[in-house]
Amino acid sequence: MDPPPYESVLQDHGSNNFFSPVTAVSKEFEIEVADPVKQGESVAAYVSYKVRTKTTHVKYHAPFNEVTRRFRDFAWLHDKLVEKNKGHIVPPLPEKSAVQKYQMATDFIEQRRRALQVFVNRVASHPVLKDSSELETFLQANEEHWMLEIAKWQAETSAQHRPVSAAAQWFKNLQHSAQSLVSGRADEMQEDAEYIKIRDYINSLEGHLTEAHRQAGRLLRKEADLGAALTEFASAAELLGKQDNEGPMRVAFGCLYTRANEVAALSRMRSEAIAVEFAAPLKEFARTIKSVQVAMADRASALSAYSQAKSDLDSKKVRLAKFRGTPGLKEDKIAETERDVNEADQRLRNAKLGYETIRDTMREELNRFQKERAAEMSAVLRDFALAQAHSTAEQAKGWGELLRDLQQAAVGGS
Amino acid sequence: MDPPYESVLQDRGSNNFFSPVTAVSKEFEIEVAEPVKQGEGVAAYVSYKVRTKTTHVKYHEPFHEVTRRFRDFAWLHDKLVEKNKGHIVPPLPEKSAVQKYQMATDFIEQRRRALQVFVNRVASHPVLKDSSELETFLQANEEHWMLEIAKWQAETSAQHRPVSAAAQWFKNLQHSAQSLVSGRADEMQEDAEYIKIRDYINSLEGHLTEAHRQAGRLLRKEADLGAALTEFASAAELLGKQDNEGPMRVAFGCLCTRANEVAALSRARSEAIAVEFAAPLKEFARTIKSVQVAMADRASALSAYSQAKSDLDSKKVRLAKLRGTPGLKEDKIAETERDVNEADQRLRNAKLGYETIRDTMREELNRFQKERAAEMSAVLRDFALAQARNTAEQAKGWGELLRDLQQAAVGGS
Repeated sequence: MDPPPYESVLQDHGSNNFFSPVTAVSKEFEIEVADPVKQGESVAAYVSYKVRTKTTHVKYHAPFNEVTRRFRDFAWLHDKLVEKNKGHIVPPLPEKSAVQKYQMATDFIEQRRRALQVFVNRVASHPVLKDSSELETFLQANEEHWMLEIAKWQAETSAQHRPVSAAAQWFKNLQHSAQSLVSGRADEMQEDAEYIKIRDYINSLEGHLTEAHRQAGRLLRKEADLGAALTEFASAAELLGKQDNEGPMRVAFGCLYTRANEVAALSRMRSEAIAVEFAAPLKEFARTIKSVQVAMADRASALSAYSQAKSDLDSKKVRLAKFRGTPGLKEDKIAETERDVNEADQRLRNAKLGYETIRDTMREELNRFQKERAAEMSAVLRDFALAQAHSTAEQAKGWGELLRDLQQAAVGGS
Repeated sequence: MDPPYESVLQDRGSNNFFSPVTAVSKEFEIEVAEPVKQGEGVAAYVSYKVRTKTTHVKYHEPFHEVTRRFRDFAWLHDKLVEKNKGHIVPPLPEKSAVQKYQMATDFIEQRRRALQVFVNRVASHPVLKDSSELETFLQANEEHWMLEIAKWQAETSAQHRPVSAAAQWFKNLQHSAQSLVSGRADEMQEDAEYIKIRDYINSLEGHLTEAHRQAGRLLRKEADLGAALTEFASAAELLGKQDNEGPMRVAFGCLCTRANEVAALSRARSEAIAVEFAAPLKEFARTIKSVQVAMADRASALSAYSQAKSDLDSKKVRLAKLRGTPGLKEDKIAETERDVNEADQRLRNAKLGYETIRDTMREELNRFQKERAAEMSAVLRDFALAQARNTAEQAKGWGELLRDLQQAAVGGS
């Protein structure tokens, strides 16, 4: 079974008939993010969206829901899911982009609306995240309930200085590695080779995707430029034709004007389409890689904690053995150390479990991620090729019609 | 029937739908070829081989080959303008000092092409093709040619071109002012038909220049698009390569290949637009300037005619006055009678001069409009055809990418 291509989580594409048919997945969720409305004034201004859900999920009371949400609310959903699902690849949020938000251009709002719709539908089709209470709250909670959640979250995030922030964790890992070097621990835990391969692949993929996105952006801008040049060229042709009065050039340049404008319109449309159908998916893919990297960082932390717990237990065992071998030591000292060892052993068991849980989660997640993304990218590429072929064929048709117009004018006029 | 741009030498055969060009057994087929840089530094220039194949009666040989440089073509142009008032002499390509100094291959090729068009146009002009200047240009050996050029260079430095366009314009202005002052109401006018054409020609130049500018912008944007596609293809390739044996490797590899193919088509289109469309528009604009030169000559001739007439009239008035004055010396009257006769002769000459140019231009303008309309039509049709073909090829390339991707999808999964 092939996962549905980009953006078709809500609507079917219908363009990839050649592809092995997607088995009719009775989708558990169909979520629409619609009706962007500007609210408030200047610095406090924001955009609200209607989030309409159609669902068959058992946990949901009603098959239809509609709520009003803003970008900050989607960020709540994203951050909560990341917090509560270590090792899972949480779909990425679109960029915060303060400047563009301030300008609130229609294009930007439409882009964001689309991206938010993709985000929430991806969450709702994720095998684990779709069952989350966070998603349920996001999609169903009324105004009152929702404001409470948000208030709670805002309190948490300002109070906590996120002690286990990514940077702090990295520093801890560094300390631990340094310590191992110093203490000469050779039994530092290692990741399996298969995982290391995937990790390296993911890390280099991000750079390449970002570059491909940048080039796609450049491509669509040049396509738009060409359209603009054709339009101005058409105007010059029109003026040239008009001043020919009843001459034969009037008709000929008039035809050139008409057809060049048609082709220019095709270029413009193509440019806009490339932005939505090709550049945006590439960008979202790059952002998803970052989500994968978050999960990978969590796994590295868990491995590091496991490693630390092990070396901690080992050193405590050594101390216990030393104490036991020392004549005349107080009993309670030995008992204290025995307790230390037991606690350290328990911590090790927890850390081991923590690591193995993430490791197993990620095995599934990475497998799912690679399959889905390969299929999606293939579909995106095929759609791109198809659309380019259509557009240039339409342009060829336009030019061919110009040729026929001119041939007719020549025969008629002379 | 008039052959389209650049086909004066070679047949294009692309406009089969158009009413067939009657097989004009061309009197001349001239090739300007093999540009070779000569000299050093500031004295550097480019020489061209000019090869003629002709059936014209005045020419001894059917084949000729000479070596000429830009300055020599300029000699031909300027001599023809000088000796054929009222005729529309085909325009010379621009002198363009900076570009010449750089001597880029592109520029030299553009210039070669434009010079070839120029000399072939001269050789297919009903009047200019019979000129001795063309004969000299095409046949004269090194020695004879150097003499001609030396003579010409001497003339142009000695003469301060007393009848330069600016000076002539000023004379006309003076004459008009004089008429205003003297109250002459019988200032000669051009016929209405000519005035219409003159105004049309004058506004055409501006529009053509603008159309040429826009065509230039269009081809640059086409080239930019090609460049962007190429870089996009590279990014796709890198993306694919790092997928190792994954399915994306093949898919992005195909994208790289096809995007590069389409990019090449864009680049080819851009270059072609420059040669087949922008250059003809530019040459058309330059030809309008040649027409304006002929129109200026006609205006000068009319002005001279008008001046001669008012001069004769005023002398006749003086004669009548003198005759009516009692006691005037006979030789005074005789002198004035001579003045009147000379003025009358000058009027006859000026009238003839004007009428000659006027009749010449009637034919020239008629020929010019017909030829140019036909040529422009052909240029436009060729443009439309080439655009259609090129975009169809691009569509084909993208279609092939789609097939590649569909195959990769089926094969891989």
